[in-house]
Amino acid sequence: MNDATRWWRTYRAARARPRGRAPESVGPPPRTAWHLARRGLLRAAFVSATVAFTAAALARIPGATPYGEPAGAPGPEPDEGATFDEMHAGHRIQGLPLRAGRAEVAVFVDGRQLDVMRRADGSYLSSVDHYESYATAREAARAAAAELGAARLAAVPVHGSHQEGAGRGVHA
Amino acid sequence: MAYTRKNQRDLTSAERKAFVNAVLELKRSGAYDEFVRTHIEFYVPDGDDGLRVAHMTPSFLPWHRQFLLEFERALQKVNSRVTVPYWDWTRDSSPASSLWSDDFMGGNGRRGDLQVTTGPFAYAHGRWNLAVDVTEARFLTRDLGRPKEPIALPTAADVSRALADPVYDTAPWDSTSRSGFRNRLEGWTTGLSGSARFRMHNRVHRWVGGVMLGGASVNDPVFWLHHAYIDSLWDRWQAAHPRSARYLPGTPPPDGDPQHGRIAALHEPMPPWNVAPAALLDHTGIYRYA
Repeated sequence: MNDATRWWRTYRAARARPRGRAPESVGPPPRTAWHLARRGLLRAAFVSATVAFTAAALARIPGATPYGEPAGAPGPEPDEGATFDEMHAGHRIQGLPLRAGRAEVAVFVDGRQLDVMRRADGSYLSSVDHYESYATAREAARAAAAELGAARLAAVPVHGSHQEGAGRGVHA
Repeated sequence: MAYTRKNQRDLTSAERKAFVNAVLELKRSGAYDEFVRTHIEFYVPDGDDGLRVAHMTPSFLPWHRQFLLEFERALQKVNSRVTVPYWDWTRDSSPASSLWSDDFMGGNGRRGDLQVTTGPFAYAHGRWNLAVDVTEARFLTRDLGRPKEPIALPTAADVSRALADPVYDTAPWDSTSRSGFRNRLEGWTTGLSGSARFRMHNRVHRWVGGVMLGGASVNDPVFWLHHAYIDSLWDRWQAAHPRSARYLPGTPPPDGDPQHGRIAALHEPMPPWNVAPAALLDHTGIYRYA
């Protein structure tokens, strides 16, 4: 392995993406009428999942500086479009902010993690839809659900786990 | 002696067959899936900190040039006469193009699951199984032109507009760069909605749809033909602007610059090959475009 690649992999390994299981089901897919009222309950249900994320999320905090919110055009508030649980295009999509302040978010489609990345302008893109971006994680999740159609996400997200050994993006 | 990359529409039937067979052999040996993995691994968006060399970055063009060269070398180990053809999507802009015929890329995905069922890369033919993919589906998918919400391929006029920009790339050297040939060609926009968001390179990925839209886009062999054309447009830009810097930035952004350590300047090596953009500015000793 050459120096450039070694340096790159070491760097990426130190900041592997948080990953984990989708939150346990909190009942039938939400209907709009009670979706907001349920939000508190949903967050409580997310707590157990959050524990799983915390170690990975904390690991990437030191030295990480938010970048890319252009002056005068701040990105969405961390929670706006990041906490959701709804049916879209036949798929259940769920979003969970990983920690306040940076709008990091874990997104699941039918209980499987959808890799979500951010652009410098604060917008979101997903592993399903890599060549355009959306204002919020929820919009990116909806677009991915629509694009998936009858398909299901792979059990292991394809991104970011190269350093973690085998099984990366390979069908289980 | 330099070899030639041809427009796919000009390939003979034997050349089409040789290309397809070499690709299928790389798939059989497992080498193809390594290219899929490499592309996934190096897709680092500009909202991440850390070095990004493949997308949303000045080295979008040289990184993909080297990626194509690596692929072509692998093909040539199978058959020394094979080169990567290019797809001029300004001319062959329809699902009816011979590009999508049964002896070459195969056709559109069927409605419903978007599965490609014709041609050498149809799953049912047993030689094209997506081992590395974003979804569970093991078959190739396409949604040419996105019939539900139709989108057109970039036109010759779109290409001309990108080529007219005399500057290779501009700060902040990412997907928000408002001018410069690199982002005009890569095609990132900010603040637009609907189909206007998709430009040039990005729009072609959207037009093909299916796996070409996702992180594992290399799973569709048309990826290489698309990127060979993008690579040829970089040639055309150089020829049109002989007095412009062929690559920017020439020196790394200084300490304190938001892009410090995050992009490859002219002489900085790009992983995974340890090759600097400067080494990729002139390929005429290796190949040329016909």
